[in-house]
Amino acid sequence: MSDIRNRTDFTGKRHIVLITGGSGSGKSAFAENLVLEQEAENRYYLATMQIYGAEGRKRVMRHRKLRQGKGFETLEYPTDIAACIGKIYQPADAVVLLECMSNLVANEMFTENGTIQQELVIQKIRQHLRKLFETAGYSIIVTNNVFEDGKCNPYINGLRGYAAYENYAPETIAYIEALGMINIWLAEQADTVYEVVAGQAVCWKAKDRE
Amino acid sequence: MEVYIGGYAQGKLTYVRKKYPEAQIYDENNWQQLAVCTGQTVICNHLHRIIAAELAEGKTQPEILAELLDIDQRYEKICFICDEIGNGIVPIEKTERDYREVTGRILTELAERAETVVRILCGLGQCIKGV
Repeated sequence: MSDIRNRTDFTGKRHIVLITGGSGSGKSAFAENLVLEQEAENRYYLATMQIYGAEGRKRVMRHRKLRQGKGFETLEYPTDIAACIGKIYQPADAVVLLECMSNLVANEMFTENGTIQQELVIQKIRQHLRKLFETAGYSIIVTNNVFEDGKCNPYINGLRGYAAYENYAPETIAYIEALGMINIWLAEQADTVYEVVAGQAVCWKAKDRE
Repeated sequence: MEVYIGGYAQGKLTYVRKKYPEAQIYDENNWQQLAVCTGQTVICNHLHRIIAAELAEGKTQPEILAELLDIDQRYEKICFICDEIGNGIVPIEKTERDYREVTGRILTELAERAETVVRILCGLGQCIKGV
């Protein structure tokens, strides 16, 4: 069923898993179970969410409850994620679960000093992820499928009637594109890619398959 | 006919170009040329934008489908690439609703006739019809 045309060679690399899905798809719970399945000494939860207001705190509480008693240490880095490496004990034996790319990209792009250029955001995040991948024995990255609601059509000159349709603001489209390009890059780097739908994981790429 | 579907910014065109590097690429700006030529393998990108523009000009779903099927007859192989636009809240506004509804219906018709349908996510492909 799966088309693994773009499979690359992973020899000598540490293990990387990418997990995508819609909001509320159960991807967090799936990712956490995947961490628990690994025979690792240290488990880290790398939280990228910037906490705003009551709803944000509620989400954090829900996720913390899910992880309770599972032996995770939580690291909170809304930006500059590679800075977490110093906090990881024996990284080669550690599992790091990063949740979620959509928050990280938003935090790196929309800053107190204004909106950062798309290309710079992508470069910086790739750089930080590379450092994490080189260090941690097992990296699990959770991302978000925000690309399918039909509001991402930058206006095109000369196409009559086209402006009639609702689209996101240009900076939102730039953000969605950045997340899309990072997801594509991550899928290239990853040994395994899952899409979680209604709590069920669909495998899109697997190292041991061909 | 082959149909490629996936969200915005998922690397769909890159994926199809890797498969057919020689194929000429058309999109909403020049797709009308497809209806007056014939040839071997062509790529028709941004099908959802083509449908949006056609609807905005007052064309109906059967008319748009007929045009696309006529184009299909002219080429040995045509690859339609379309954004998945239906996985959001159904809009209140009729134009917006019709855009999603008609795009979905046309895709269904094309996929039924296509020998291959591939879903694309994070640059990866999953064949959901054919080999």
